[in-house]
Amino acid sequence: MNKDLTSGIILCCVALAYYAASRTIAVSSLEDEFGPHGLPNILAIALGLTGALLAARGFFARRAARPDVAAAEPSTHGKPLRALGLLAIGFAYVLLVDKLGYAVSIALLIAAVAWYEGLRPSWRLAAISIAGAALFWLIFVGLLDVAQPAGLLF
Amino acid sequence: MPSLLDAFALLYSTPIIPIALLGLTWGVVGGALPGISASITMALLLPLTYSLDPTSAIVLLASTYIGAEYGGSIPAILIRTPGTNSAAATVVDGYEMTRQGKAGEALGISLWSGTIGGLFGLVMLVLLTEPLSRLALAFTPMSYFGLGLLGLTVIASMTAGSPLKGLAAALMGMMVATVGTDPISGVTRLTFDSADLLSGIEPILVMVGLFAVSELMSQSGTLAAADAVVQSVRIRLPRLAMMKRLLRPQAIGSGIGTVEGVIPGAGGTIAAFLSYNEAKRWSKHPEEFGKGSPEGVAAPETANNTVASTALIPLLSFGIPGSNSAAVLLGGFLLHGLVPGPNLFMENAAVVQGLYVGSFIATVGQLLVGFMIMPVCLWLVNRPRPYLAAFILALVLSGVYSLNSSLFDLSVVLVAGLVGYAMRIFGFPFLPAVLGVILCPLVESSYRRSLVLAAGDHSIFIEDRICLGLLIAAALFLAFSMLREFRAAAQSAEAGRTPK
Repeated sequence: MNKDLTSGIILCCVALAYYAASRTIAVSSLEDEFGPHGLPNILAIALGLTGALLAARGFFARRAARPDVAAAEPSTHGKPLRALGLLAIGFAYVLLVDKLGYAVSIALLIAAVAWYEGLRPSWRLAAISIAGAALFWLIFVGLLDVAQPAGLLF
Repeated sequence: MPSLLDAFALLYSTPIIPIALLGLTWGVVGGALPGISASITMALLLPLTYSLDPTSAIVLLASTYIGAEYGGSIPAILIRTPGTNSAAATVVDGYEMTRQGKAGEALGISLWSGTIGGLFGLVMLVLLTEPLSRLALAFTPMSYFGLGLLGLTVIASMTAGSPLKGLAAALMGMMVATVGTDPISGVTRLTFDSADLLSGIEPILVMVGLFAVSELMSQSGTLAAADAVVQSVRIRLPRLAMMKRLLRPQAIGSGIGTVEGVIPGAGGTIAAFLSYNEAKRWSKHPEEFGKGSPEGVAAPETANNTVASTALIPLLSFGIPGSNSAAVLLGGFLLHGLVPGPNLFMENAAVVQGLYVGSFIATVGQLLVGFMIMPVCLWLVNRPRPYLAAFILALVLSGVYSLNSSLFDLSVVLVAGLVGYAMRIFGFPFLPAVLGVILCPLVESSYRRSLVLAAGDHSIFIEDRICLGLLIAAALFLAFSMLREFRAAAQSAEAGRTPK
């Protein structure tokens, strides 16, 4: 499947899910003629149609054996699985920061991302992660007075 | 119009000078990092502006934009890798000059031309913005509906390659904006009983996710091998004879930068390439282009620095951002409860004055900061990229949390990053999505208010002349883009049938 066909199908699925969700919007006695569900309904239909057109374009391009222009371009987005791994580190931070506290979590985040991106574990990596965490703590908590999560440990 | 004296009086009441220089420095450093565009550099800073006063916040972001446009030329010239998209045209002759041992001269030409372009763009910004915004004073809810729709269609139609994808991106952005409490009836929409979604999804979260997180994801796995070693370089500003030679390409770059900046969706990249071509066409030495021509550096650098100011004209006048960076700046305005347009000039004149003065300081300050920051940029360009990725993600997550002290916001940013990554894979542009998030509330609420005013009669949109004009313009833009799409498809099919 080429990119147009795949993305067209995904868009149709998103439109369907969005439409189903918009059906759950409550009716209000205060609502105007258009109502709070007017725009969501239009958006769902418009996205569904756009997705269908895109999928049709991809389908006919494939049948005509026309090389997909986007596919011919060099990849600028790396490897999807690796990218998802980086995102997982981000979500792990979100889960842990409340328990470990900001300073520890941000140090772990820096170390984990740097390691994941190709650096070998070392004392240098650990030192830079701790120094980085101290810098972020100084900027956000010390300078900007933002109350970052304290955690359960301290 | 805010008087010049009023504007400069701000220098005493607000720390504009240090803020502008700080933003400029951050912009140069961010722009100098390959892969970190001006909009990403600004988006990284956006959450931090929350704790600042509105004037300082806007000055910080605008100065960052100015700095990033110059910063992007540093790796373009030194390591043949544009730091920002708009510096891509600078690579051609800039890197050739480096190969010829003229890196310092090329950087000096870039710095000088960027300053000239920035000052010219700033003059245009001050001259054109307020008169245009006065036009918006005559706007009714119907006109705002037409304007919002035009903003969406212009961007969707100007996405090179596929207007369909631009339209889909805009629709998805609008879908995000429908989450939360309905502005007219107060009914909750698509919140799934989550208290975190009651006030909707803030545009800033979508922007940071789309621009910054998805960029980190795109570069994941390619970072360790991408290190480049650059030796020390000293910037050399052009001498008088060279300055005279550069006048013509700088004039071309300023002119094209002004026009392209005002047109929504065009942006600095197109301006830079157009200026390069025109500078070559009008040059006395066209044969030098591509072989290390100083004019080939001056024209695109003047153009993209001019755009950094002129792109703010449609933003300040009508609240329509014409580029990714302008969209992030709009996010800064919205974060502080400021709505660009004529009311901004009346109710928050100090912010506009601050923006002008801050941009002036940043533009002139480039000459000084450019020299001082060079060793830092070289040091950063030579750092192992994994550390940069780690620190950028840490900055994103720390900054976003500081907005509302909400872990839910962090999840939203990461999910937006995932969506942005998928959009990159499938070739969907970001700007329409961002505009969808920003403009949807304007389009929906003005449409519904108009209908309430007219007791449900849709002819009110045609009776309002401004609205009618804007709707016709929107229709023309859509028709134009569809025609272009059909032509491209026909040409492609023709090429496929032609025997090789």
